[in-house]
Amino acid sequence: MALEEIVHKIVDEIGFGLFSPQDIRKLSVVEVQTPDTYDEDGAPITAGLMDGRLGTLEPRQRCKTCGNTAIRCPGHFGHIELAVPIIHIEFTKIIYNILRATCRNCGRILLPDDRIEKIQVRTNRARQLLGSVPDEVYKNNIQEMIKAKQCPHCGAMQYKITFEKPTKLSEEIPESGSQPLTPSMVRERLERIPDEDLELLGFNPEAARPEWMVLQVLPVPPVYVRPSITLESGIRSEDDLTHKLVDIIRINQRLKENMDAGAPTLIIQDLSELLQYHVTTYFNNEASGIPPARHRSGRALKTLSQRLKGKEGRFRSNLSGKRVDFSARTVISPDPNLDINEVGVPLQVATRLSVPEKLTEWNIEEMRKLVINGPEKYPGALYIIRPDGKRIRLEFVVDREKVAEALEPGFIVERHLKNGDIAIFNRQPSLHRMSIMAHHVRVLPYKTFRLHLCVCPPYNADFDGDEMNLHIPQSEEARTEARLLMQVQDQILSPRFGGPIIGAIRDFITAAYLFTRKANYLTKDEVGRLLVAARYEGPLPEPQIKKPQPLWSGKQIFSLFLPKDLNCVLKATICRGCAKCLKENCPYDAYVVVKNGELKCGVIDRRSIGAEQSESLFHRIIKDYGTQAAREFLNRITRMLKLFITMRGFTYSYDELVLSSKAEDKIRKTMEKIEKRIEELIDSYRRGTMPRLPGQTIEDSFEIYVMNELAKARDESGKVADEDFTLENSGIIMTRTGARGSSLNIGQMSACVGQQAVRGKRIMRGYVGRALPHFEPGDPSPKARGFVYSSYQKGLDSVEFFFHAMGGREGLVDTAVRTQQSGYMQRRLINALEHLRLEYDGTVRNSAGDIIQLKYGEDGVDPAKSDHGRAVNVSRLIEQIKIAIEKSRPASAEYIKKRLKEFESELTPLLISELKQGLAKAKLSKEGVEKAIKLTVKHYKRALMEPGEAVGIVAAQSIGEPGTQMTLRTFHYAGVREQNVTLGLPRLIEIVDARRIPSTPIMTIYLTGKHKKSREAAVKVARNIVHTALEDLAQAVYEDPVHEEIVVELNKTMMEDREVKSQELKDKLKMENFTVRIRGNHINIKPKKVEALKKLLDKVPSLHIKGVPGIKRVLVTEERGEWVIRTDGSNLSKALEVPGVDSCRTTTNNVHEIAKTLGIEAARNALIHEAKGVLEEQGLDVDIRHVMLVADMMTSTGEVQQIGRHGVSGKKSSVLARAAFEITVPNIIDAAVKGESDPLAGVTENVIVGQSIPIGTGLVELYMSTSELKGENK
Amino acid sequence: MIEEESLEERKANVLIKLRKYKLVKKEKVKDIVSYLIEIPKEKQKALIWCIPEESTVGILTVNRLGKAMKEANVERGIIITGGRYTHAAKLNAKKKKIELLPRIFPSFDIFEHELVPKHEILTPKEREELLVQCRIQPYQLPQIKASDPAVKAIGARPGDILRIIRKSQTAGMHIAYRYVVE
Repeated sequence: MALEEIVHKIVDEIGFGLFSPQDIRKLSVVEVQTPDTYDEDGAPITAGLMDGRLGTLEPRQRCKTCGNTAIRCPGHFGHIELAVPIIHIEFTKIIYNILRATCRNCGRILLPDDRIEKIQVRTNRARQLLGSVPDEVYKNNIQEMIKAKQCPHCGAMQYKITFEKPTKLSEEIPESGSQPLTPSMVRERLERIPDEDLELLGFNPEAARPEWMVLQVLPVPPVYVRPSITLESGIRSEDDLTHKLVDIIRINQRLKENMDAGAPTLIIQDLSELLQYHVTTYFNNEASGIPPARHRSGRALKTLSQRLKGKEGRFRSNLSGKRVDFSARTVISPDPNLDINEVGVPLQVATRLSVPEKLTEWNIEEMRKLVINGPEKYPGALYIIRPDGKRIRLEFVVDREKVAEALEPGFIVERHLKNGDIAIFNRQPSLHRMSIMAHHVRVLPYKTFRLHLCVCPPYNADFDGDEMNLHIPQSEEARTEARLLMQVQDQILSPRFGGPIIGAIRDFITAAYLFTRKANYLTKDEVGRLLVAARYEGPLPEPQIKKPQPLWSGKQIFSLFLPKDLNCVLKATICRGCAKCLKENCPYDAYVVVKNGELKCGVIDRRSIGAEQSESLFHRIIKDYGTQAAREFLNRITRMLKLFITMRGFTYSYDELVLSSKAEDKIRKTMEKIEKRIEELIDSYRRGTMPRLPGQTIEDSFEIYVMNELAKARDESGKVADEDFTLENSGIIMTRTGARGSSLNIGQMSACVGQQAVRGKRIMRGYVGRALPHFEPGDPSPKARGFVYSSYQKGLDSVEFFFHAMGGREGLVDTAVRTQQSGYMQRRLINALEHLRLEYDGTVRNSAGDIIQLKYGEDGVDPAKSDHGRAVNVSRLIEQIKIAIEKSRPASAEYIKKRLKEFESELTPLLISELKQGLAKAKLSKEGVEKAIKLTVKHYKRALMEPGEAVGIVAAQSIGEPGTQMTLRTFHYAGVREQNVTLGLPRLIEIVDARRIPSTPIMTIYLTGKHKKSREAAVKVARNIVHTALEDLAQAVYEDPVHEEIVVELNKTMMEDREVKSQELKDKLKMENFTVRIRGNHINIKPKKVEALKKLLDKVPSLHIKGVPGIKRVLVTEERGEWVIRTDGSNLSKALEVPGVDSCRTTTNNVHEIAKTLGIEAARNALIHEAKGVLEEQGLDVDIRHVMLVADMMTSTGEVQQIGRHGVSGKKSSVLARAAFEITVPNIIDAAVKGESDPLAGVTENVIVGQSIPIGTGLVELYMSTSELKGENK
Repeated sequence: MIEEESLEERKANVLIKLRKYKLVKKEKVKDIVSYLIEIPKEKQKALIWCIPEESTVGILTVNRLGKAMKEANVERGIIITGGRYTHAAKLNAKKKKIELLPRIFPSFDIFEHELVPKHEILTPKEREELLVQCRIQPYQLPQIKASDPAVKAIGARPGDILRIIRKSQTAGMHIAYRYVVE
């Protein structure tokens, strides 16, 4: 077979720079001189904007320059000779800086020679030390140059240059005032700057001479860039860019004519300015200080800058994201009879999508049949591709049989989709890699995609109208990769937390509970039906009850699907958490024991087989028996459970919501009790005897008290309802087994809906002093402020209904806001980490090859292959060996120690110590010890992350994806009721943003020695910490104009409170230029100069007396048996120096402060601790390795950097990647000036140029050392 | 208030302990507590001056220390203060080989804090081994600023590579490296 010669080109690098006028002219094929486009016949005018030499738009016409048709012609640039030089708008800032930094006379930079030399030495040193020169160096250079008043080279005086937006530059000359700098003058000055000097300004003179930033020639883009469209009416409509170019040419022509005619300068000046305006808006129609150019309809034109930037711009919309063929989208619906690996594809879709299949002598007959069937009849074919590359569209073939006859091996038939083909299935938003998985096609009737219910959690799909996308991989390579890497069964274990993300949900769990609970016995007939449904083919076990008729227990039947040597113990979801666990004798049957593949006791519910449950029964199966066994297990039990619940029936009816009269009574009593208490609260509030909570106003304190009471009321009544129902109640079954809902929902349905809140407060908005006109103004009763006494079952009255709608509205808004915020956070995380990958040496590096982590996650373990975060489950391993191996003389402790020492280099210190402890306890024989160590090493090696893995993307997804599940606006109490801390999504965003000051700065101060033992001692320390200014001690501060002094009236109780003595005060108040007298309760401060009095009055209240600045409040609390101080406000460096403070444990939540006082490594640890803390508090399970990677990335430069354009993303080495993220245009401009080049080593860059990405399987390349080959030849 | 030891003296003691200096002589002249120490690694001598918090350190103090250093025939000097440094003092100090310790330098051993792992300076041999093993230039390692408190504490200089022994939740113990930059 003749080898096809495929031209395979790879873009190695993209360089950025400026075009010189010569370059532009050389590139140009036509000088555009007339502003017209087409003549009356619709033919393009020569030397016009649509000149045929610029390329052609008509499909069958040939290009006048290259002779190609429209498809193959790349398009050619033209040019416009500008009558006067014009400043390019995007470079104005840079021009301004350079003009100020160079001499107006000789063009040298304004630094003496010795200084230049010094800077050069320093720059070279920095380059050697850091590999590159940081931007700040150039910035500092320029700053230094601007300061010069006189040129050190030619001695010329330098004048101040001012810049006015958008393009006006002028120079202030002392004698003649402000002189405008015309573009031609600017250009002349820029021309004078020597190349060597430019390097100190950060320019690369080879790629960009500064005078090129002032345009003399304007390139005209080819017509493909600005195609004109023909409307239905036959009228041609030109592109925005063409419109703008027409304007430019028109003015340019007029200017030229006027100049030739020797028109007065005023007219020339006006026209030049107009030309400047048009060129400016041609580049950027949103430049500040300039009105945007508008279309006749009033719409602002979309010019070059606007085409590139933003979400709908070229970069994000066309280059980072591309449109595809061979895809389908439709509504999804469930099908429990499918395999979890399968996707149901409608017949209509299957006949439109195709798979290319190469003909061989083994499939030729089958393919002939398909070709004969044609495109309409299923299984058919759409196209035939002959070996010479010609495509035959079967739709247009009349005699398909003849074509089928002509088929030969080597042809390619694009056939319809058939069962078993691989397809890629996706639901947006694609928040993690399990949002795109490979399924096997199953062609089915009707019009929806069908999927197994257990794969809903990874896609986050439901069936209320969701749509999903399907893609058919076309090459053998793509299909193989999809099958090996993306198949559903291989995605069961989530890399987020190392547990199964796929598992039983909803009714499967209800069914599993009903099936395995003690009361469930099945007849032979039923067992038969269930097992057939599950496709079980083994023998029936002995029935548990033999007489009067054989009955099998549910547990027995369930056991049939468990692997025969599975051992597992866990507590079910229905576990009530009794004080003393009775284990096997649990009254609720919540203690699950599986011994040798048999369910001995306990019910199966969410904890055992549910999705997103780590260390469950299902997790054990997949870890010990592999994904294939797990898939089959899930398939079988779900099919059986589905049939079981269909046979039994399961409903939740209205009467199951009705409480017994006893419970009703109880609820009524609780409500009465609480109402009474609230009345008391109202009473004491009105009388003013209510104690004020620290840091709150009286009103707020009252609200907090009432809210607490009302929350209690709802909880208590909910509890009554929850307890009133038995486990026979369907709602209770669902909530207790974890199938759906919570006990809160039960309480709201049956007992009391509870307080409705807006912005975390009771509802106060609406009318003045009241929410609704049904109440009196200022009525603080529960009813008037949105407490709903009724339950959903009884129904809400009109007032309650209104409040409920208010609360409900807030919930909806909250969700919408949250998805936006977390989406942006995810985008930033992905962008900052996408180019990180694991290298073959185990390091995590970015695309430039800089090391981020020396070993991924510090142990190199892939969270997806770990056992809920642990590399190897040592205790379980030893347990298994203990069962497998016969008992004999236990190995000595020395032996274990010795053997472990030998493996120190192969295992992590943590595993060694775990093994040491485990083996010592297990008392295994030498043989057992040997096996345990060997197996641990084997498992550890197997759990290691594979080279090429996109660890950054996985980390970003693992943190971003749960973001959507987080609550917004969570203020939570940290230990003490009085203190609020920002938590949840806002806090997480704060952490990755690396904000200078968190919204709620808090310190946790631990104490030493005696101070932590008693409250009094702790309070003493606290008094030295809380910041006390003079105003905190004063009743009043005022000016005494008679004596010309400031008087401060002191408050004795406040002074005692803060333990400030007047002597101390006197010491502190000693100031120069002032005399201070303290007489009893009055302090008189008299300045020496009378003028200082006013200033003094402003200064006096904030005079520092004692404590640590920045600490607003302190709270002394007892935690884990010791007294600690929590503060509102943070100042770590000062607080650590206070005597009595434990300088080993005291921390703050301000990461920057930690970096400043304890160093970057401490900041890294703090970042991990804070982020992990937020996630844990929200009940989200995220592997610590992901958090570590983010923290390492944020601290890799030695200071805490933001995840975003001002930090990590802005410092990426690739120009294209930076431009594709945010601030597109300035990034490209900077790159051009610096003459940067993009080595295309990262992800986004390669997506942009359309190459495969160097991550994962895309990393694999064939390397051959040419030098070695040469050696052999010799 | 009679303190047994001033804040600056405590800082000096911590510094001497962490950088493994050898104390030769300690004396008190007026406000200033001065230490004469030996730096074992570089076989140099240095003078540490502790200046109390209230005063700002200006060029005068720096010059005085420079003179004192010359008299005592000492190569290096260190100033510890809780006060501020003037700009001129900062510029001059570098020329005279005087290190100005930032005023937030803690008066306790920061390595005892639970957030701070141990930092060590690599010997030239270890450094070479690491660079060869990872096939990198030093700047490709994660970096740490020369102004970082931990770097100041152990007296590392730009260009050094630090070994950081972290406590790890996943591996028990982990060794990381950072390259000291300005």
